[in-house]
Amino acid sequence: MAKRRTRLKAELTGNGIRATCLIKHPMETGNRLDSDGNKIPIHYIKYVKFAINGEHVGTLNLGPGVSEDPYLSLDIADVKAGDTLSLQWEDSKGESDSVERVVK
Amino acid sequence: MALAFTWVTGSSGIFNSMLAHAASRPDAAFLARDVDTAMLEALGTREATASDQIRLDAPLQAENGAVVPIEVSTSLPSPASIAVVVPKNPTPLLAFIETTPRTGSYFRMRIKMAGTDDVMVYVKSGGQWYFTSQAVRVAVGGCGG
Repeated sequence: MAKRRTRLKAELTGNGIRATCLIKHPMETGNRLDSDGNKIPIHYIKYVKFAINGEHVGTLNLGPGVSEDPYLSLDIADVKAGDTLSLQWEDSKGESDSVERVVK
Repeated sequence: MALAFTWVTGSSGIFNSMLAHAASRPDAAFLARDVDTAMLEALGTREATASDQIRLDAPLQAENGAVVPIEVSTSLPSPASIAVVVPKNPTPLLAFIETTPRTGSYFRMRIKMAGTDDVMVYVKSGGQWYFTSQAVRVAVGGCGG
């Protein structure tokens, strides 16, 4: 659990930021077989939530159809340098991670 | 001691508000294996109007269906929810975004496509669903099995 799986960056745009994250995750659909012909169990990120200075601003609910190692961007308005962007995700097995960035 | 207490209550407040949002995830829609059920569960309706105020950028051809980048922006006023649907995928609902007044104008992600199909993007604005779509030709499907 301690290993760092989530990268987050914030780029200032006109009146806000473009938040981009890369999460190391298999995003298994449950349809694939391993080399022995056994089904690989379904395992995917259920949601990624974004907050600015602790205030919730949006949730990306994901299904197993999102590609392995999700690479996601979301524009957030009314954000300025010095604000704190945070992200939290949880997957279908209850694993989770959260990260914070100060917008520069 | 007092400091520690303040910190604990503060962080649990944030945590509770995050839990409250988790409740609205349309779980049944994500598990649905046909597009009609997925859409009814996610959108609450199958009625949507085609709109040129949603812009969807996806490749016309994808060599590898496991990684198809899509980019969506909309100028519809105060988008409330956005759904990404690939009708022929084993589970057609790929993403469902719950926005606030500060989000919804733009997002991008990478999705899997089982084969050549349309990518459908639905945006709820003013209580109505609008959509746009783009066909993507997929050389090698990316859903396994």
